[in-house]
Amino acid sequence: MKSSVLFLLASCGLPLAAHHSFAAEFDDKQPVKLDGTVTKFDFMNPHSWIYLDVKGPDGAVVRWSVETGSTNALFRRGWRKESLRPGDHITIDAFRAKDGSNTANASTVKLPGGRQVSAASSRDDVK
Amino acid sequence: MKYLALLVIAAVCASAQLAFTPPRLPDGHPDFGGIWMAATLSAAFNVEEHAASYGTPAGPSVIVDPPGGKLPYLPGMRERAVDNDQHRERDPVGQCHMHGVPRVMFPPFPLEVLQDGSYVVILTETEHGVRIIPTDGRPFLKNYSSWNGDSRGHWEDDTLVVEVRGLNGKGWLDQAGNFVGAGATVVERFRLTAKDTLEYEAKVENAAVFSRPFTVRVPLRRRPTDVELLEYGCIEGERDAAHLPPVNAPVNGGQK
Repeated sequence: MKSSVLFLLASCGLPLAAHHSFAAEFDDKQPVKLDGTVTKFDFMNPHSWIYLDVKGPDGAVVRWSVETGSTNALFRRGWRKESLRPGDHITIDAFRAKDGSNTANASTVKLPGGRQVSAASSRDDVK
Repeated sequence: MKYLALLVIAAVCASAQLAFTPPRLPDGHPDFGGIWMAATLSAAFNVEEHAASYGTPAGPSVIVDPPGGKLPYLPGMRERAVDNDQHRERDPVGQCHMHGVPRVMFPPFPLEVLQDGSYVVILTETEHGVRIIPTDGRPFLKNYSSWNGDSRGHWEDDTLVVEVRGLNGKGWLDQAGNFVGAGATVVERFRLTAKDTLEYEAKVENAAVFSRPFTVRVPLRRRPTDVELLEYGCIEGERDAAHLPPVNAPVNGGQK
């Protein structure tokens, strides 16, 4: 059910939406792939945020904050606030914040079922 | 033969466009009601012609005057815009401020037009913008200053002409740091050119920043009927500020 709702988004005609410039905060030279467990999904404007725990090579768990598009942009692509739940194992392709914190801007999210979806973030506006 | 066919098709299209008659309200004015969004989203990123760069789609200039599509900055002003471009954290919209006119008409979010005999109202999803445009001839508010200013409209045949004064001079024109300054005034023109196309033009005069007026033109495209405006509580999820560089010139249009 979750997947079927989510992927209305591929066929939705509305373009992606950017509240702020990607370049204001994030670095296109620092791509990062985050494979981890969702701890929280804040479905809100002007950006929704995914919080996830990522286990590093040394076994230490690091909490990441990952920005997506606005609730409105996500909603029009089929996302709902229950689209991600704590405990979900997901993989996010993203770009790190320039300030070096464990913050990133998502371009795509691979869901527990393996389907990869747009994060409706500012990064995606170039596509 | 092939060219003849193309000519016929072009002639048919041209005549169809000329023959377009807008739907009308009981008062006889064109009905602009509906949900619209800029057909050219690249204008939100940069009103001038620009190549694709990271986070920004390529796009043509939406400046139709002066010829050449470049903003007619006064000496020294383009340098300020370039400096803004390198410090996009200053963008007022990124800080949840209103877009300002004319930028408010082509954000990458939908807007809704409502009309009756005395008003045209434009509701913008982003930042919950409300532009109430009286068309009954009332005077401008005195000493008003705000992001979207004070608007007064009148009809010239089937074109809605809106004069905007009282802009606060802090607005950017796009995400690339182009800006207007103190004393800017705008004359907007709205015209239905097809059932689902609302042509938007804005002539901006701002002698403090530009050597002459300039005009942007962005067609707005009608959104499908299942699109509705949604709430956009910009402050609620705004968590970027903590990760931005120190803002050394916030919300001042790049003017130091």
